[in-house]
Amino acid sequence: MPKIVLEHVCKRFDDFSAVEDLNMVIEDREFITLLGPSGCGKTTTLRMIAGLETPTEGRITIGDQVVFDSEKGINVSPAKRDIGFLFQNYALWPHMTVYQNIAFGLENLKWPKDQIRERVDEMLKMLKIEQFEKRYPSELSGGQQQRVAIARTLAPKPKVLFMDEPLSNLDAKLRLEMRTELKRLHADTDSTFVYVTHDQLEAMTLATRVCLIESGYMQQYAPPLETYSNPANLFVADFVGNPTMNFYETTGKITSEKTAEVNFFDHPFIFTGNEALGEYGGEGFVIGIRPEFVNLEEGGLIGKIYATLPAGMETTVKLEVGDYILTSVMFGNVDYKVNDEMHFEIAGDGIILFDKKTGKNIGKGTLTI
Amino acid sequence: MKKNTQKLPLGNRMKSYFSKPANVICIVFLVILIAAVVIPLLTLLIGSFKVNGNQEAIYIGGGAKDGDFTFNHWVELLTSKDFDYAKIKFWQPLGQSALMALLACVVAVGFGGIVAWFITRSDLPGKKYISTIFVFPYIMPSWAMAMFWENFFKNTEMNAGMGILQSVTGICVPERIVYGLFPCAMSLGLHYAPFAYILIGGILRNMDANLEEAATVLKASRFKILRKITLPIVMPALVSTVLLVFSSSISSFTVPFFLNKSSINSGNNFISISVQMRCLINTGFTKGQGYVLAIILMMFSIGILTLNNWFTGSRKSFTTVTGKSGQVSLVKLGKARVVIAIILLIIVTFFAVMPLLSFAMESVLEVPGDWSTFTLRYWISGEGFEGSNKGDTIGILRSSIMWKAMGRSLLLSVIVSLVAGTFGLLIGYAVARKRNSKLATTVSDLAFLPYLIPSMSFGAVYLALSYTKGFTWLDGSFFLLILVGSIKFMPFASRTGTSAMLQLSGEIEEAAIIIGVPWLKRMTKVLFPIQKSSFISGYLLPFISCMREMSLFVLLAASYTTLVTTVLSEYSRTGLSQASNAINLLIIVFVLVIQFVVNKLTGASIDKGVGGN
Amino acid sequence: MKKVLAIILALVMVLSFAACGGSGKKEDESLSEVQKAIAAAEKMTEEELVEAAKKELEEHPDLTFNADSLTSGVKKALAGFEKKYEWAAGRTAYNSKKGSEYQPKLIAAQQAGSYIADFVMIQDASFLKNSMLDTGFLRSYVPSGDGIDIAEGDRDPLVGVTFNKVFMYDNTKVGAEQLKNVWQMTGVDGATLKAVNNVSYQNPLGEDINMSFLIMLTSPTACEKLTAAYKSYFGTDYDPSADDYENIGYKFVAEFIKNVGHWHSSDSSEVKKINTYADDGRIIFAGLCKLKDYEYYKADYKDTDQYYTKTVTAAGWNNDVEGFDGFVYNMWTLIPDTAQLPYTACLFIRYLHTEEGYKAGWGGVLGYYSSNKLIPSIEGDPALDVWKEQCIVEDVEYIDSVYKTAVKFINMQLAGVK
Repeated sequence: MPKIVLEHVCKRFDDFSAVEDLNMVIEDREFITLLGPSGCGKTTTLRMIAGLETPTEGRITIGDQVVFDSEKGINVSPAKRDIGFLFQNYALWPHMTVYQNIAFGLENLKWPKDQIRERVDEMLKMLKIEQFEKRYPSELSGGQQQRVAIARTLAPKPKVLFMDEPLSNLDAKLRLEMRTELKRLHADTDSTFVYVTHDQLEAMTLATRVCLIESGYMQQYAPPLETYSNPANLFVADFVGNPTMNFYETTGKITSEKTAEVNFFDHPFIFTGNEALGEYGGEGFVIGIRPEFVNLEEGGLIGKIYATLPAGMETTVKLEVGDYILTSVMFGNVDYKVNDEMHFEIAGDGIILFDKKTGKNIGKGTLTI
Repeated sequence: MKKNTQKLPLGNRMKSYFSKPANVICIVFLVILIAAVVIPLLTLLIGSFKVNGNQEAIYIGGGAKDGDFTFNHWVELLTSKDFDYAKIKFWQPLGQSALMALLACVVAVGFGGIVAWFITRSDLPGKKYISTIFVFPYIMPSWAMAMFWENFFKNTEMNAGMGILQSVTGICVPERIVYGLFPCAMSLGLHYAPFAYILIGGILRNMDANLEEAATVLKASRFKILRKITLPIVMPALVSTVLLVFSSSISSFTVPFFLNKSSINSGNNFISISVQMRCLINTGFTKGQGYVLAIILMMFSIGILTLNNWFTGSRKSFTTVTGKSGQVSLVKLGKARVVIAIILLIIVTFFAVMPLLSFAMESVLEVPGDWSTFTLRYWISGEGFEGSNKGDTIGILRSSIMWKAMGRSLLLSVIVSLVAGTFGLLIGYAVARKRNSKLATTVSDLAFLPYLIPSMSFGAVYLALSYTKGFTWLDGSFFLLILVGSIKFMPFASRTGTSAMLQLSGEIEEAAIIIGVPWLKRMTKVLFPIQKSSFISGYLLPFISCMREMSLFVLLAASYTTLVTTVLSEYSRTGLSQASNAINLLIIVFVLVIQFVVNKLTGASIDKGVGGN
Repeated sequence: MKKVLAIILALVMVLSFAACGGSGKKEDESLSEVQKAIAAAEKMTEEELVEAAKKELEEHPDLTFNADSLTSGVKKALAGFEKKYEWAAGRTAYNSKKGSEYQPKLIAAQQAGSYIADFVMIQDASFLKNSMLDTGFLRSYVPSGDGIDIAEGDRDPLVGVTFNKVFMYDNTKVGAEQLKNVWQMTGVDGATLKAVNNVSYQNPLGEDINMSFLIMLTSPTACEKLTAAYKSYFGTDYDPSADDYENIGYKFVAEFIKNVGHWHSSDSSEVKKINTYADDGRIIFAGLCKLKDYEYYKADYKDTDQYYTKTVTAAGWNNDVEGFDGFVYNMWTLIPDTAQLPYTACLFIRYLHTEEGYKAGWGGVLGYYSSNKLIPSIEGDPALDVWKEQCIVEDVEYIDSVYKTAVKFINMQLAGVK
């Protein structure tokens, strides 16, 4: 069944390059999100796989079929790629009713009338938009339009479904709801989903694997938790996770295969990798600490409470240590007084050591005195 | 306020109503348009129900007197069986003219629409050139194409002298291709094709490409996408085009009059409804019948307009979603790319440049087609011509009267285009902001009507007004020309203004309202710049039309020296057709130069609304 | 939209009923200022009239003497007028007005009783009589004195210049030998004269004069001429019972229209191309004065081998055609009732009817004839009386009486209905 393979795919416009040498494999029935800031090339990538955009170079295979190959001059039209595409602005046809919009793709497949009726009804029911069947898109709200768009995309049962920030125009509550539904949909439909978003939370919660892209280059392609707990580089570490990771720039040196000596708040600390450390350029480190690894009221380090941000289930505490602001997250509801002194420690084996020059992940491990 | 009232007091409600600029614009334009459009219309209608002058009284007979109420004009024109009068004077020409106008629509929409599609939706090379050249035929007067058509296709076999085609290839086309209904439709269609190009191209360019892509992904064939998605969405522009081309063509006088030269026996003889109308209106005996005809022609167009409104009801209308429609992927034409480009280039250049050359040629030959009579005297001779005033010379370039008139024409056209363009923009704004409101629809429809009133009748009404006590200061004044021109050419601007405004989502303006930008500033600093090129075409179209308009102004101009077109007609009346052709060429050159300057200064041009980049 | 239409229709009903009741004409017993001035001017000697006009212009330094005309001869005559009367220099203006464009202006001015010009020169007999004379808007001043003798019938309204339209051709193949009888114009003679489908006629739907001509062809005088010519050409008497035309005139009109091979849209441009028709012998029915173009340029080209000098001799017309030679019609010189400078207008009209003034405007050109009997037509051009004898003459009474029927008949022929 459909497995999508991208090999050395590039897309260059006149004066800039949108995607550079992209290689990725999307396994059957995966739910992939393409994640990155605006303008990073994720939509272009999606559109290239769908066939709406022609790559400058490279090769794309969907299932057994090479749909694009710049060397062999193959370029299969989107209509023949057996895909579904959900546009950011829904692209509902304004002159067709909801029913006509959904039925359009089925008519193109030359389904018999009664089966179309049946399938459309099924979709309407599934997306809870039965009562809008005879309306025109301009008479629907954003959320309703979006569900119509989903119904239209899903109706022909595409094996691969591409979605371009489909939830970005919805309000927060509806967005949450739709996320759940999309995840259910993925489970129910047996299709491969490729999903573009700039919202890391959306990417994390939906995907089986996340592909992070920055300025046209793929940064990391891994399951969401992997990108969270073991980011490949500073960009990924920064982009994934909320509140964001603490980054502490410092100096130090590699002392053995698995250890390094680093300067942390004016103390010499030892970083011990869980595995052998990667290559180090020698121009300094960045220590990456997830806020949940900063334990308060314990340990020998001292800072001052800068701000406390309770959110009900957890509380974010900002600590001022020298001229550095350290973020910590605590479970439950706590409230500290501003400017109170506070002890803290760095716990666990999830601390990341980055090479300051290349930004690359050198190792994951513990930080001790 | 002590009590909690359910409704705001009337005063406050009025205040809140008028605090919205769109409402104010609607009301103001409703008043202006009723005064400027409905009154001429009424005059026509009344004229069709009364005896207009003693000659008509004689025609009607039976003791009818000037000013009496009568149904005679309607009865006579629509039902008279004497010598098949109604059939010959009305029904048959109407049918044939409708056929001609429809054919012209097909040519204009087909040719203009196809080019618009290639320019906006494909990776055709040479777009910029094609786009620039393509609008030329519209800048020329409509009969320029007719004249060229005749010069090109006429041949000795039909005893009309040798045309270009015959002298180059020896081919003699049948007479029906040179004279009659077919060439009329072709000349008019080609003349109005740029119009279709501008209107349809504007929509195509602004249309969200995702709509088509969505259909591609759902496995619709290219043809089906065109039929089911693209066409319905460009339908409003298409209908606008059809409406404009249809009403322009069916009321065009010069082209059918010029190309009706065949003998009665040939079967090619084509007397258009507009020729009949002009004949009726210009003859003292049958003015009323002429009014009847004018009204019926307008009804035709109003019918199309209503149909259009009915088709594109608000339910199906689309609000623009700010999406990623910037990512228009151009259709790859593949190997056909160059071939199509070359074919288009040849066709477009042919119909744009050849008529110009043909003008140039006519202006330097004493005898048309005879190069041994080459002369530049109609351009540069400093001699006076028969009965010339001081400053009139045979050579138009030496004539101070021509240059002064050219200056006044330019001034008039600039003012008219500014007024009409701004009015059109405001109407567009009001219509876009107050979609679905009856008031806005009425204003928008009214703004279209001036286009449908025959120029001569329109002028005549304002002429009568300028002779009325209290308005005599208007007689022969420049202000009257500005007034009439602005109203007559507003439809162009209101159409482009409306479609451009509809492309802008309300949020763009709302964003500015929130940070407290006043209305005027919102218009000039936010809305205008975004759709600049579309709006500027809304200014350029009235400019061009005004520059070459003759029949509208001829009644109202103080003397023949007022405008360049009246000077032109004076030359041709004096028999110096070479000089009048030279002036025509000069007008075209002026328009092109101004368009070029506007383009350089603002980056916009009439074709740019479409996208010749 | 529907609502708007409904409102418009309702308003129309109301207004049109109102219009019916409202426009009764007032009989003005007292003479207008212009009428008084004309009456006074007609009694004056030339010197007195000059004084009166001069005084009038001096009294109204802000006014310009406006002359509206559809013939540019007036423009030239004005120049001569200013030269002769230096005190009028710079005080006159000429406005060129095409008939169809000028008539609405005249009507509007007449209905509003406002000023339009001080002098107008127009054609179209029926329009003049019914809309301008019967409403008392245009007035005639009949000049007199040495060297002026206006024919009785041309005085009220005062004829300025008379024109004619005749059959013209290039001399190479066609000449008086070939064009002998008007019935040839119906296409019966294809052998001696290539007249079959080879007549060029300006479309009467666009040119009033050509319509008037066709209408006049059905008149009793025309029928007489046609009957005689018929007999002479076919050798038999015309038998009215042979077809169902109302008279021989209708028969001629129908057959003539059918035989027109080319409908030209402008006399001037068609005549200009006359030499290109040398080979096919096209016969053009057009204003004789259109040949002025050749005359005018003669001087420019006299030393060259250019086209004009060649064709002036090549272009020909026959003033001895059996039946008729063509059509004679007038342009009238009149004073609007609202004129502001009536004495100047009278003086100008007087000037136009003197040999000096006429020559300034129309002198030396074929096809123009003054209503002053003492001014002869140019050399080589028969006198106006001869033309009137030989041609069909516009007659407003007849046109008014048959217009409806004749025009319907002509329209049917133009539409090609058998």
